[in-house]
Amino acid sequence: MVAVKLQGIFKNFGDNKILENINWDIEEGELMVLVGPSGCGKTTLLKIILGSINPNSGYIYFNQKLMNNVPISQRNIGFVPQNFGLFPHLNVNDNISYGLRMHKFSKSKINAQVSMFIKMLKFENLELRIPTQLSWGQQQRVALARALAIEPQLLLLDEPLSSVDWAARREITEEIHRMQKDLKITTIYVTHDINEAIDIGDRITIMSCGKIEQCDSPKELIENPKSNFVSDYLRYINNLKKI
Amino acid sequence: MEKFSVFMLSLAGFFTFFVIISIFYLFSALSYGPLILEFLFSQQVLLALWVSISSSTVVMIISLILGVPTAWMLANKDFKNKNILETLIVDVPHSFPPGVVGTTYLLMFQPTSPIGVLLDSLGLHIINTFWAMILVKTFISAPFLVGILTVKFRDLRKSELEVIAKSLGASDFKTFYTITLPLSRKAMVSGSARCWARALGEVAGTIVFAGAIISGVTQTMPAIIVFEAQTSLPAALTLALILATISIIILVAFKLLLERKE
Repeated sequence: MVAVKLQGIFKNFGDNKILENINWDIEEGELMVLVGPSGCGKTTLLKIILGSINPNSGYIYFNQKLMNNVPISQRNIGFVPQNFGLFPHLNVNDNISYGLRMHKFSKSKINAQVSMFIKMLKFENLELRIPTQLSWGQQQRVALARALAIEPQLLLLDEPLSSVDWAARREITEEIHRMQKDLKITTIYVTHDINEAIDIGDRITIMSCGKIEQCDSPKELIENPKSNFVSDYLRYINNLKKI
Repeated sequence: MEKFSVFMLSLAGFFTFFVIISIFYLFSALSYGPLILEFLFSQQVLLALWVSISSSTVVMIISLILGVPTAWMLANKDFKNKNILETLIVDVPHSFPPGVVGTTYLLMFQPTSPIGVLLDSLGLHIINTFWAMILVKTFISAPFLVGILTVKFRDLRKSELEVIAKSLGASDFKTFYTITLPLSRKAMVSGSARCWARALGEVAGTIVFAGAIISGVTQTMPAIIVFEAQTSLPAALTLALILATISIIILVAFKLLLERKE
């Protein structure tokens, strides 16, 4: 079943065409990676799905429901931006429980959910720390836990590993993959790193200059690239283990 | 040391000396000890102090009530000619000489003007009242608060923390209350302090539009200082010292309050 459907999305900033006729389907429970060079419109597309930017034209559907005029707060999306976006004045506990409190969950449900994530992240001694007292890797995990705690219908990850060092990348990639599969949350993962995309994606969408070049499984992409751009982009793959 | 550093430090040194020497001369009024005591027990001075502090506080409260939404709009809403509007409501009042502001309001509220006629029909008179003073001071002081808050709110918008809060289910109000306000507290306190201090020091607009001669209503400390400076320099200096000391105490209290909460 299609969880997210975009139909004829166009977006301009002034005279700059950012997105041109985007038609895109994301299946329920799949981890879709959106990949492309910097400035190709990935983040704008993600923000249109999130609801923080409106398209000039086109339609956004979640589970066949038109979402264009639904405010961000009612879209039930977990969002992790590039810099993690932890609330600097709240400790780990309060960051994770923020969405639960906003959704007016009962106190017992909030405590149970937060405890579960604290245990899952092995953060028992870090609960009362504020974000600046955490490493980048720890901040990334808290941001992910905060987004997942509200049990979102869709998870959006905008280059979540861009500020994490290479040593921690593989570990965090595997953790995201495991959590996503365990919780079966439809996920859109934005990156400009094709290797990261191959590692993690059920399907990969390659974008260039505001257009979708190809959307396929990693295997299909490698075997049947549909444009010169895709072939060129795939040359940067240095890990073919998964394929 | 590089020539550039020497150049920068020389200018910084000159400015520091200029400020310190000015403060030193203000505090030289301490030598007029008996005069200070005399003024501190003068009813006219105490009333002027009360009018100055109370009017500045009212201006600060009005500026917060109107300035926070204005800054929020300038930072978060995108519309045509926003830059022009921002220049008009934040930058232009800074560049207006206060005397000109007072004259403009005189024209705007004179009994024959449309606003004057309307207020007259409602039995309201503004010119030469406490509220005339509030009007002038708000026009001159509120932009300080709006300017500082707009910059802060823009930074927050850029950080996307508010978008994240909304994605987690927070309504616009909850986002403002739980994210925007706590993270803008420092800017809000420092903007309010600057607004308050600017309102306290305002004199020309107050004299022109509010008269500044009715003791306990429109006569402020800066107005008395200006009048005294024309006849007795020691008296003017002593009054300035009293006003400056009280102003410094209140501004330090603001700062301490902020640091304690942090």
